[in-house]
Amino acid sequence: MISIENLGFSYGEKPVLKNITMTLEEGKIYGLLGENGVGKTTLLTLLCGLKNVKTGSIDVDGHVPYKREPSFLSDLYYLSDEVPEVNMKATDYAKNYGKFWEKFDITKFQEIMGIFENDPEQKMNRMSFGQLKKTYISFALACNCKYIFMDEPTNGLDIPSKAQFRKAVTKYTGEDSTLLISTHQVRDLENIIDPIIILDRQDVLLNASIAEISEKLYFDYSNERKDGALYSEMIPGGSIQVYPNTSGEESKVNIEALFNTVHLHKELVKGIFHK
Amino acid sequence: MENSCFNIGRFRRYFVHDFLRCMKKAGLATLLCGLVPIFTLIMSAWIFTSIGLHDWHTDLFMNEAIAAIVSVLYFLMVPIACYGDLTDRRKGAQYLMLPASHIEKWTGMILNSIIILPLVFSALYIGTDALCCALLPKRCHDILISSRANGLALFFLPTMVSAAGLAGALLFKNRKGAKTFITCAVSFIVLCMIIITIAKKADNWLIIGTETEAWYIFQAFCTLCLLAYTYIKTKKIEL
Repeated sequence: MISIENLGFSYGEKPVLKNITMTLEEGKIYGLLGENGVGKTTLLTLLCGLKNVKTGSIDVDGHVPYKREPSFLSDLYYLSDEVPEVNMKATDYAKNYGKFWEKFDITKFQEIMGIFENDPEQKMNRMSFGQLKKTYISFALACNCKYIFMDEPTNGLDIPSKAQFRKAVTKYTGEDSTLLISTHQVRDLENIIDPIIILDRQDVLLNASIAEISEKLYFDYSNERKDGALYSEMIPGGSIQVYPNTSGEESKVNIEALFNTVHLHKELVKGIFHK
Repeated sequence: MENSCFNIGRFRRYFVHDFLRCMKKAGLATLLCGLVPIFTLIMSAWIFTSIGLHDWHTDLFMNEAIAAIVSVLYFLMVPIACYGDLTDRRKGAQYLMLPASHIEKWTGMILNSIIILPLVFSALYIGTDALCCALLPKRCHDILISSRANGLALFFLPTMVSAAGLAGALLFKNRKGAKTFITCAVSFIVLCMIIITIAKKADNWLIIGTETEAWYIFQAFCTLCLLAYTYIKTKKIEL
């Protein structure tokens, strides 16, 4: 389990994260959403120990990430938004680096590369950015780590690859693995992320499961306009409106509408979820 | 339970991986620099014969000067070639996230960039030089046989220069080679000025020539400081 308490971080005098407190449970695929510059990447790098917290603390199964202990690192894989080109075939890379993660499975790597229609025998420095990203995603999932942090993994992927990504994550994530995927392209990850964390400048606006969101907010897809909508938007074939769920009726959560609702009514939504 | 500080099996696995990575990055440079005596001989032959001087031989002073320049550049630049990526957000993250302890990574770094690669280069250079002199005894001066430097000088100075190269690789964000070279050159000039000032004040010029032990102690001290810096920097590095 990951516990973050009163986490604070700043770049020089500029604060990025302030008093962040949350818990990430095992076996879930978290979606970390937020506008550009709210500190999604910073939070991920703090969680994997690439940066040190300025205030507060992070505890990952009893480890302090910044100490970068081998037992902590072997349970974790961090996929950054920009991935390095390597003068090596993808298979050779996987064999060469995979030996550092005890549970790494080369067969799984090749299977995921297959899902992505990526050639494992191709040299990584001759791959396009999308192909390179898919290679690293395959490697990350094949490491079978307890914690996998992915920063904007769908950036640079074409439309079929985004669907392949969802398939690979759903099929190849271990039951006890915790994935934390940061993105601002919420549609790419719809149906796979649960719970959802919405980060704002120096605050966590929401950290709730889809079931909780559905319990507390109602997403109305009908064309009928009602009063009291927190958010409404025209979508092809109708509209979507978000209301506080007073009737207890279940509805399908639209992450983009949720994101916009939360940003429009920060304090109200925080109040609804902290009840 | 595995030791989180140092585990032999894990270190062996890491070290082999890191060594092969370094060889990929600096292997060709090591080979080319090690073969410099052959290139020097070929260049000398070409220059002397083109000006009609057929009874030529290489100059010992020139050979030593070339060896000194190539060695200093090699010792300074190889750590940068191998570990300069560490401050890069993408490649550095890959290195820092490898499941090995800090002390294992740092030990591997020191072994590869300060001991093994410089030794491979030195052996290759001296071997090539000796081979040239064995094949063409009338044309060459074997720098090892003719060398005025003793074993200690050949240990302390290269180690210090390599440590400076490694510190430069971690200290500077960009143009690491140029900045490290300039910093070392400036430090050397300042140091010489300080020594001369002290010697002048002491009215004893012999201090420079005779107190070689003090010079070795100074080099060893600088090396230790630089290594301590690399240890702390790699432990505290944030990307």
